[in-house]
Amino acid sequence: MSAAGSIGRGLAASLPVVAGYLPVAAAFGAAGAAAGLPIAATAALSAGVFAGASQFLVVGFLAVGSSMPLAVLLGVALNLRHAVYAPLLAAHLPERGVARVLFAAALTDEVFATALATARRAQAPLPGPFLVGLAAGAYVAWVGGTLVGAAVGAGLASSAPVLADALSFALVALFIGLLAATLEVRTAAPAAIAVVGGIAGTLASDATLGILVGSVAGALAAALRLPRGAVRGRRS
Amino acid sequence: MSETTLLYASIGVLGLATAAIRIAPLYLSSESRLRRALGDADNPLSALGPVVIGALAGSTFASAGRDALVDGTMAPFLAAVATTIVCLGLRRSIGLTVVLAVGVHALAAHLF
Repeated sequence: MSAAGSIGRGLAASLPVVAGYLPVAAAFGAAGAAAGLPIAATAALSAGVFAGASQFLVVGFLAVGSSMPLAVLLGVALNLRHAVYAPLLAAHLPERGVARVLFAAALTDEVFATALATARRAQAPLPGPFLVGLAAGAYVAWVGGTLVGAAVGAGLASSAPVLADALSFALVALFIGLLAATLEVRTAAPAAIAVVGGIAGTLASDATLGILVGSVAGALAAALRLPRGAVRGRRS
Repeated sequence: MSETTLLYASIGVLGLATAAIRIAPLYLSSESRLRRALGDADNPLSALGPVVIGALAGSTFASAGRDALVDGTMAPFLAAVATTIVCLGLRRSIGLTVVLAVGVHALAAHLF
C-alpha cells in the first residue's frame, strides 16, 4: 500500500478517537475561557501538552488561583501513566525512524488503545505512515476542538451565563469519566482513598489541598498495599 | 517573573516533560528496572495515574458541590451528577457523558 493510502487508513482508524475528543476538547477550551485564560494560552496547552487530564488540572488550578509549579508537578505525575504505553507497543512499531518517535509523542490513552487494538487484529507491525495518520487525526481534533471551545466559550460567558455556568461542570464529569475508565480491581482501593482525601481536603480548605491530600493518601495506600499472594501466603 | 511568562513557561515544562515521559521509555532496555517497574502491576508506581485522577475527581466534585450549595444551584448540580453516573453506567463514552452532563446542568438551571 502507498504511503498516502496508509496515512488515510490511519486517519480512518482515528475517527472514533476524533468523535470522543471533539466534545471534551471543546469543553476544555470553554473551561479555559471561563478561567480567564487567553485563547492563545488555551490552544498552546492543547498543542504543546496534548494530555487532557493534566490540561484540565492546569486550568483548574488557574481558576482557583493556586500555584502553577504545583500544577505542573501534579500534571507530570498524572501523565506518568503514559510511560508504559510506548514499551507495551514497541513490538508493533517500526524499528526506527521519525514516525516511531512522533507517534510515541502523541500516545494518549485513546491513541494507545486504538493502536494496540489495531496491531492485535493485524498481527503485524504497524507501518509508520499509518501511525502518523492515526496520531495526526487525534491531534488535529484535540487542538481544533479546543480552539472552537475557547472561541465560543469566551462569548458564552457574557451572552449565556447559564450555559457558561453549566460548562464548568465539564471538569467534574470528565474526571469522574476518566476515573471510571482507568479503574481496575488492583487500583480501586488506592483510587477510592484518593477520592475521599480529595473531597475531605477540599471541604476542609481548598481544591489545592484536596488534590495534595488525595494524591498523597492514595499513593501511600498503593505503596502499603500487599500483593495478594503474600497475604494468602501469610494466612496459610 | 510576570504571570503570563510563568503561565507559558509552565505550559512549556509540562509539554516537554509529557513528551519525554512518552518517548524516553522507547529507548530503555527491556531489562531496565524502571521499565519493569512501570509495567509491573504490583509496583505502586503503576497505580499513580488512577490515584491522581481519583484525587482530582474528589477535589473537583467537592469544589463544584460547595459552589452549588453557596449559589443555590444544587438541583442542576445533582441532576448533572446523576446524568454522569447513568451515562457512564450505560456506555463508557467520556465525550458523550461530558456533553450530556453539561446539557442537563444547563437545562435544569433553566427550569429550576
